[in-house]
Amino acid sequence: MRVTVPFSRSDGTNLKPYSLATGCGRVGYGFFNYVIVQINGEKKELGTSLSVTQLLESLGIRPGRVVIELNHDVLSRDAFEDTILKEGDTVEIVHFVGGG
Amino acid sequence: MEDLFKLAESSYKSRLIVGTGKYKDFRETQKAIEASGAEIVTVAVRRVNITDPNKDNLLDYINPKKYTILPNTAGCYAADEAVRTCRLAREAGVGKMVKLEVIGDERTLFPDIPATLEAARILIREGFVVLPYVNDDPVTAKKLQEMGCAAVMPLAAPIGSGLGIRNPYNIWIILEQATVPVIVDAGVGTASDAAIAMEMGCDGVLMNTAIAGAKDPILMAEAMKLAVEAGRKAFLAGRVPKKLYATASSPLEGILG
Repeated sequence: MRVTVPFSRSDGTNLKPYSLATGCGRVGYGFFNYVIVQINGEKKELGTSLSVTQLLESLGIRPGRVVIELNHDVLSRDAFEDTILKEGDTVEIVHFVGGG
Repeated sequence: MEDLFKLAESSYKSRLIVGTGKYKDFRETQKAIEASGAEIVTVAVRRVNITDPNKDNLLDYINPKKYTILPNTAGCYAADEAVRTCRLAREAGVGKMVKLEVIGDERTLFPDIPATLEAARILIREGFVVLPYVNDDPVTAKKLQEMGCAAVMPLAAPIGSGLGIRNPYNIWIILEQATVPVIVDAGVGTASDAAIAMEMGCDGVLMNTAIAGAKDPILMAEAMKLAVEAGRKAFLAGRVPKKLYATASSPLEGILG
């Protein structure tokens, strides 16, 4: 059977097929397990078991200069490491900018 | 005796509070703030651009160890949005003092007073030190100080308008009844506007556009510093009363006959 669309799993993550191709043709295929998270208003597909610290790293953001809101509650900096992003999470990453 | 500006639990030498918006770059922001002599600096809370996270951060240029960072709630049109912004700002670790502004109208940027009162009540309950931006309305100013705000910040004129103090009489009434510092916030256009606010007896002046929007922001920052100092000294010195007719400055005796 060939799966062409992503589908949800009972553990709240999603699967989607992928294939690896090179110049010599397809060399591998499998499934990519991911969650959909809203970050600063944009939908993003993230790998499962990604912590907030890892998310910031992957986005190239220094954790010391930002504040995170997870599902409308402020997330303490101490909790970045242990907070794993789940399907449907809403994340806001904010910082100070010039203002009057 | 040194004339210090007491605000909440702290004392400051400078009575000028400056914003950090509208500058060409962070370097210019930094220079202008240095030239202004301000010790309290306002900032806004915004989303990080995640597709291009700017490596430079405002706080790399405005050292929170050197300046008191005063986060604002600019752009908030509802009490809950303003409260949410303040909670985020507090988590940044720059203290619990916030500039509360809940905007009621896009064109004038005048405050939404019921929403400002509601947000102030919640924030004070949560332990914030609240500095609210309000109209030049003595009734609202009184309500806010009675509620426990650390200062009241009546506007001189609409934000960014540069019109100067539109209604000095209302500011006088606010000053007369004040039990907390009165800081004129918004609408200052040039140095004389700031000096007038201080001569009237205001405790401080908060501005952004007047400096950042000037042709030479760094020079204007210095002008504002001097204006606020001059106005304050004139207030403390006590001006002469205004009179309709002349009073000679030179002695009337010994005039050559």
